[in-house]
Amino acid sequence: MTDDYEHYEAVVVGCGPGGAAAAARLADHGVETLVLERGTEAGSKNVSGGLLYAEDSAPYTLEDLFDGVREEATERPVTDYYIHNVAGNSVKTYDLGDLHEHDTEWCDAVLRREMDSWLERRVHEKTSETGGGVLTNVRVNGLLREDGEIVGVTCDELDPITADLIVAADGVNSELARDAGLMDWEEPDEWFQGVKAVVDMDPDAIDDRFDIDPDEGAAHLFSGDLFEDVRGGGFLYTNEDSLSIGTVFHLDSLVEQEAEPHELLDALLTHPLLAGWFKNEYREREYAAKLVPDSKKVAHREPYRDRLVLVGDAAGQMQAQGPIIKGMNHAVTAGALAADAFAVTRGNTDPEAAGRRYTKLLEDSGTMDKLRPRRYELTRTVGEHDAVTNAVERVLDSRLGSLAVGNPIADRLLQRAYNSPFLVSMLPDTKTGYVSLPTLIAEEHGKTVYWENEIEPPTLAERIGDLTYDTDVGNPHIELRDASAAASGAAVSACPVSARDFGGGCYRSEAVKTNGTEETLVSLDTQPCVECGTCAVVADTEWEHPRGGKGVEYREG
Amino acid sequence: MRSIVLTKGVPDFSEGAVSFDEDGHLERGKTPTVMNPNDEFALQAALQTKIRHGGHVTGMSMGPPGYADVLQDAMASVYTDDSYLLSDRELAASDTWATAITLSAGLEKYDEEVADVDIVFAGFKTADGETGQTGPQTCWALDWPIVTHVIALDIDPDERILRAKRLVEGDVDEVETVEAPLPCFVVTDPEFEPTYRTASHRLTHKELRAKTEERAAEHDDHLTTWDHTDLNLDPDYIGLDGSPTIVSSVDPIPKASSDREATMIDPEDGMGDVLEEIQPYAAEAGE
Amino acid sequence: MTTNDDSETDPDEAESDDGEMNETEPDDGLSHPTRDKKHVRALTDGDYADMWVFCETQGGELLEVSKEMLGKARELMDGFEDDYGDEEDVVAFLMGDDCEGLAEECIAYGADVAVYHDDERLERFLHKPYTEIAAHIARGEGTVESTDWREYDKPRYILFPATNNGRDLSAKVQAELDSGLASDCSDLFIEENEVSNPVKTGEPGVKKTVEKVLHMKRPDFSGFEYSTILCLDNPDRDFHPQGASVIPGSFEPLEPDYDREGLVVEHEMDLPDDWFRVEISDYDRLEAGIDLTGHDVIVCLGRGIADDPTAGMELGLDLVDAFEDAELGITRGIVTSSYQFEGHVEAYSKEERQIGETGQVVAPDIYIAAGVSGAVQHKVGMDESDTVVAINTDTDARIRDFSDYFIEGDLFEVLPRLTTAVEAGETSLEAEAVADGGEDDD
Repeated sequence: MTDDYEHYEAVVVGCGPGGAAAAARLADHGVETLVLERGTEAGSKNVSGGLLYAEDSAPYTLEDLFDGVREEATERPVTDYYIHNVAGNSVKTYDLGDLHEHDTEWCDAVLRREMDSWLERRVHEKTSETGGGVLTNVRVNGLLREDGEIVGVTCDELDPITADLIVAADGVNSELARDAGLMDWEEPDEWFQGVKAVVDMDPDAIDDRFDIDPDEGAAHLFSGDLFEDVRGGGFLYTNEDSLSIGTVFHLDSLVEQEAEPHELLDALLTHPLLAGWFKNEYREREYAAKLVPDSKKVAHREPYRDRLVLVGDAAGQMQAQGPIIKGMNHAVTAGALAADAFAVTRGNTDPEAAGRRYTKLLEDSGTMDKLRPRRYELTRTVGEHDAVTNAVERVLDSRLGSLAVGNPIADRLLQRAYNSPFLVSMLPDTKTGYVSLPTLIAEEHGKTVYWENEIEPPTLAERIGDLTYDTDVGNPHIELRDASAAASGAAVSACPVSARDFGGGCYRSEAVKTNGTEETLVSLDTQPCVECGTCAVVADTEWEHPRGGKGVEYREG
Repeated sequence: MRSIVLTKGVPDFSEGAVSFDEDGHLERGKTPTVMNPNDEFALQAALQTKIRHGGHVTGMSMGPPGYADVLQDAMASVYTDDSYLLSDRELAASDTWATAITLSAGLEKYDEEVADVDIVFAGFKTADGETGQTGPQTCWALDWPIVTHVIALDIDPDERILRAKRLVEGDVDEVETVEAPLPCFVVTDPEFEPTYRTASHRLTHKELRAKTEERAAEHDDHLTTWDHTDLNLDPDYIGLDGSPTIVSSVDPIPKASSDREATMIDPEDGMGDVLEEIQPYAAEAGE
Repeated sequence: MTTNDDSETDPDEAESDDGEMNETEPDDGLSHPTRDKKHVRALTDGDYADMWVFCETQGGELLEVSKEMLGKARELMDGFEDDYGDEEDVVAFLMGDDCEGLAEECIAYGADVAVYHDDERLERFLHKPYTEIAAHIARGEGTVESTDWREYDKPRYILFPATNNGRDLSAKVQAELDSGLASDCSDLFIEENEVSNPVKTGEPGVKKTVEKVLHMKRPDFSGFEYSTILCLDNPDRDFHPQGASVIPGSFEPLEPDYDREGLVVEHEMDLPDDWFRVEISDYDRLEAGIDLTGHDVIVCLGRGIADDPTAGMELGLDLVDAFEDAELGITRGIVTSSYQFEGHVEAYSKEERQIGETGQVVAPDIYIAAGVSGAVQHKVGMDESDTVVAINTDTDARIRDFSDYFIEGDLFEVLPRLTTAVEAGETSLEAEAVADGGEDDD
């Protein structure tokens, strides 16, 4: 049967940084490589907060694989790095320069549409030379198996394709990883949800307002009581002629607090602290959202099955530890290592030879330990234990706590602590780390910001209206399996393009009368969907990506 | 496989581009010319043939010299290999009959002097004339087999047969599967969609695009123009002289205004003019 | 018909009555491939009569549009007799496998003569044989039995349906008959026409009145303009029949009269195998689907039915039924709702009835939007409607901006009242108080 299908030596699914790195490296090894990308152009489906790191300790950086990427496809390098602890109008800022520069060769802000589409063109050039190439608008919808063994992929738009190596670089909601049984969408506490606004700003204004040169850039993080009790924080990065401003929250916390992600973003955008940068001008280019895997919990230790290997978000390789947020760099490393593993095991009759080798390379290169630090494994049981959290919270609330954090020595210690990669990686993933401590810091050490922030962010309806969609009419890609409020009600607020009392989004809660009784049900319209995957985790759905080229198209990403 | 695609320039009827005079008549001079939208499907069918079976695609158009731009667009968008323009003052004001005679002469000359043609592709209806007649009439003048309203196409080059699915309108719409020998005349339906189900076809598509970028920029080097003497056409049978029909008058169609001001009606005060408006559409009593 | 007193002798227009060109004319420098074609068989001063109607069939039945054209042809030729005193016929012609019964039905729908050609290979439309047979019949070729009812060269007028196959056939038959046609006509009338076009009059600056001209009105330029097309003889070359294809639904068929007298003629000719080079191997009927376009009235329901979705749907359907030609549409909000519709109305809640940007785009004479808030996406689907009536409790609803009438009220109360009024033929509803005579508002 499979003899009838087209065969490529390697098929790479997804042309983000991970897929691009894998494909480029495979082509370097002379492997015939086909890259399948579901977006209309690489980057059109991709969103990231916006910082791409190149680590001194990493075996590969994006620039190693793609000469000229920094000149042609990235935004500003991050030269300034701060965290702002916020309590009301009171803000205490720490310079995180030391933390930022630790193990950092370079770090650039990026916009994914521009960068990934540039990568796509380079990847196509490289892979064309070894008999393959990049195809866009193709959605790989599953794995092709023969006698139970993975031998290729199936697509919406193409006949099945067989391959000796299948690289799933298909992102956080990887359908291949789930088809292979390597990942799931079960636990909200394994995920973060990020939302982001790309805000227009003249380059001169950026230089002026952030006090940087044209070849410099700034990164700012925000934590504290900005977001009430939702665990997470905010970020702001400078691009060439725009700002990436966003918020990232633990998905379980969003669900618990029934928070509206777009409102949390607005809370940051409208905080007085940002008034100095906006000067009461605000033009939002794009609203975007994505899920972020928490590598501490889900980075797969053996990300392969048969001929399939997972790289990047698909394998949960997203390092988010306090103010350290690194994902794309690890995807690049993983992609290149997977290619190297295949190059070595090429021709081996054992279908899992490449996967095993890849796993070993991830370990040996130290990548795995960054993603799932052993010390976190040790502290997590303590750090997340409710009793401990409550105890710490009580201490912070007490006069003693204020005194402890509030004295001048503590101020210096805190700045140092924030700059310690070791300590930061142990920061508990609880309200304490995100909310209580920063709030207390701001209250004790902060200065009051007196600026008036008068900007009005767009409404959710406007944000959806400004996005570009190619709706697959009559072919909804998500189906609600259980419309009861108990099973799926959480999606109404947690979905970044839905809100309670808003009828124009994906999820809506409605009181429905039947035979005299009334019940609250959830309804779904997939047209405004931004494909973040939140509802796959928090609601009872049958979740798929739209067909190739369909659905939302990000212009910035 | 060698195909010729017939294409035409039409006024750009898209919003913002189209221009009208005070009386509501279309101002053709002020409205830019673009490729007839339905020709896109014919071009796509030709491209599909080329990608699946290799070969050569020629764009052909009849019209003023400016239609060379349309042929250039065809080259840029679906990678035609070269272009032929049938252009002559004598051809002005042709109706469908005279156009069909001219196009068939161009196709015959090409078939005889340039290369044997396997398939001629044409679109259904132009956006200006909207007759849907030119394709069938041109084919009639060639006396080739014809398949019209094609929504899907499959060619067997060895058997020299094409298989097509075509849309038949009636009280119930139908899809027919037909087989026709090559050479054949194919009129595509606007529902036509090219299908490329293998990665290698799609990669070929991409490669063609890359290769065509340079060629399309230098379109003049790939353009041949024929006038009525080249085509051996008697002026009495072409242009206005050869056209049975004339347009005697043109009236603008009033467009529904989208600037509406709602008359507010309180249902407790009767329904005002609403009933007067809708009553003429009432079902006859007893039905 | 024009007269061509001053026409110069053109080599291609020999006077042979059979329409064959004279091939012995001197060459004028061009090799005239046009002349080599069998199609240039133009007549001058030919005899023309009758209005012919190609009656397309499907599955052994006449298409509705065939009946509509027969009705219109009947009306036009009755008028022709009144205007010119000449009695000319409506001639139906059709072909297929065993279609004598359909030819008889054509008489019932208004034809005087019905000519049919039977062949089992003609069960479905095929370009080549259908064209050849139609031209053969129209030229009066064939056995004595099939042609002795007529004494003219070609039909005066000829109508085809503007369906995919009918339009193709019209183009090929008219080309074969060396004449022209207007396609996709929505109106037809016969009257004289004053022509000044020198190609048609023979000399510049001269006006000539041509009688019995079929005026063929059609929307063109992508629907921006109506053109009136005429098919007129040149001084030295006749263009008959004057042809048109007709948009289905443009005219009303007559009530069939099965006692109507008429002549049914079977046409006979040999059909060479070569004409069947294109073969139909299979066919499938398409799912009919719901077509909301082309109706007089659309009643569209929105989320205003939420309080009792099933009852709301029933009320909408009641109003639809009160109109002669109406259909029910819904907003996207209904399609994506979790409303629990009862079985008998559930089918109306599906995407196939959605109006708007991602649904159907309609432009009825009357658009009644009940409980529709009026999202921009919805506006796209209905803004070309002639008259828009909104029913809504919320006067701030966006639909108000694109409505002609805004009935401020609950659709559960307003819809039944509208239905009752339409059914009763009322053009005004008196307010209760006024009906009671309690007020004097003169």
